[in-house]
Amino acid sequence: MTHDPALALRLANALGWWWVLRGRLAGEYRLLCQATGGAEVGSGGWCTAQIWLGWAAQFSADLATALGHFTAVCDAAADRPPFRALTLALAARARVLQIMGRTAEAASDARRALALARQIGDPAGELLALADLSFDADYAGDHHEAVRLARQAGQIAAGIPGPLARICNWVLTIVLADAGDLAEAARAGAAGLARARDAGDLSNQVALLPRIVDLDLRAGRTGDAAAHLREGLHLAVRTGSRLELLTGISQCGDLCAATGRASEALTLWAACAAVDRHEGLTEPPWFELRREEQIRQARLALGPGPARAAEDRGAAMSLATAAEYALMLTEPGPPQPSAPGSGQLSAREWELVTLVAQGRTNAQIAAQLYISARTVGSHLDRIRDKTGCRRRADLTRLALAAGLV
Amino acid sequence: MLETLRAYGAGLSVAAGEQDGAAAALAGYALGVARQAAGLQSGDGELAAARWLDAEDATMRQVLAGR
Repeated sequence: MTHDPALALRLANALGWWWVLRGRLAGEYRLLCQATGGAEVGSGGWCTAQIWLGWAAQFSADLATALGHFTAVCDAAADRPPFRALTLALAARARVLQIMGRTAEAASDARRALALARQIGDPAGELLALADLSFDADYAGDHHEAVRLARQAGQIAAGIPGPLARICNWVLTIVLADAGDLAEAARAGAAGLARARDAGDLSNQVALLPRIVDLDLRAGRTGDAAAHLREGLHLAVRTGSRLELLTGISQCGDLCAATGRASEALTLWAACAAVDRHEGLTEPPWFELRREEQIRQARLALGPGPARAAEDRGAAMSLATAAEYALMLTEPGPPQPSAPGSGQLSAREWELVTLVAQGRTNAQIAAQLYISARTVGSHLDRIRDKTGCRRRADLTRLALAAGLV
Repeated sequence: MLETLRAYGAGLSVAAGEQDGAAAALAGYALGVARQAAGLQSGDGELAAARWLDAEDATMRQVLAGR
């Protein structure tokens, strides 16, 4: 950190939208925490940094932490006249509460954010609040109102940072699809994706791609769905967007189910359910009902024994392993052959490959196998020499192809 | 190559006893760039602003890391 902590905080705050644009905000969480450490609680710079920290945590699917940062701004603003960071914090908190299923609190925050934003003339806060209210109407089944609010948000253009202005396409795509207007939703999604690509806006691309995959699947365009899914998974890994990664893995299960691969579908859905349980994430009731029916059909297609094995396999996967599996399943063309030389691996080396695929670090592997971290490194070097697998993701893929994870 | 030059320059400023002044000047420069670029992110200058910050990434990292 620079010798001047106040300058570091101003610099980090000024870089926030660029980090969002390039999909880097989640990865800058620790740096933002350091920059905020010496700031006076409740000061302007501190409040702005709390917004960035909250969004960074939200991208990483750490909703409790995100909620804490946004609430900190609301608490700090309790006895003060409204200001921009407060409207953003309220609107951002409303979105997190929506994802957590706390819809009444979300609607209350969104309405307050909209009133304050209009009172002080804050277009960014107004846009975000309208987006929240659009989702509120959507969840309540008032699709006409949801679309109207999304379009109203899209008309606010002046003085809005690009990544924020472009979320309107994402909101509109979702609410149009939920309203059953799939053709218009596809148009909004394609326009949004083109805008995001032109701007090099990775955050909006990673948010929009799952919505486009959803539309592809609903229209039976499985080839397009696989291509969009693959692009979205790569971007979600690159930007650390764990929520979108989970969505992508879940959608890969949908794609497998739609293309007659019931075993793979059950494995991927079980992997998502395990992560959801572990991280306390919830899905809307309508989604749970649809998923239960999909699982029932896949189990019927497979039979009880194979279905149980497929689900146990998924439940044991880490998020990274499930993501690598989904990438393998969406590869274009015929399945790739195993890495050359993998047949020469010893039983001990396969054991290491499996542990790497389970997400263990070298230090964790050393502790588990009662060997030194240096010996682990030597083993991995030999494995890499034999198989040509340079990255840990390649080793994960090797283990997946061998059915070891 | 740019990192090598950066390290070489940092070494020279330390040898001359000017590292604090150089660090403060660099930090001021970084903040100026970041603020100007942030001001362009709401309009037609967004693409140029993002590319400017991409080009200054190493400088931003150096200032934020306090090296």
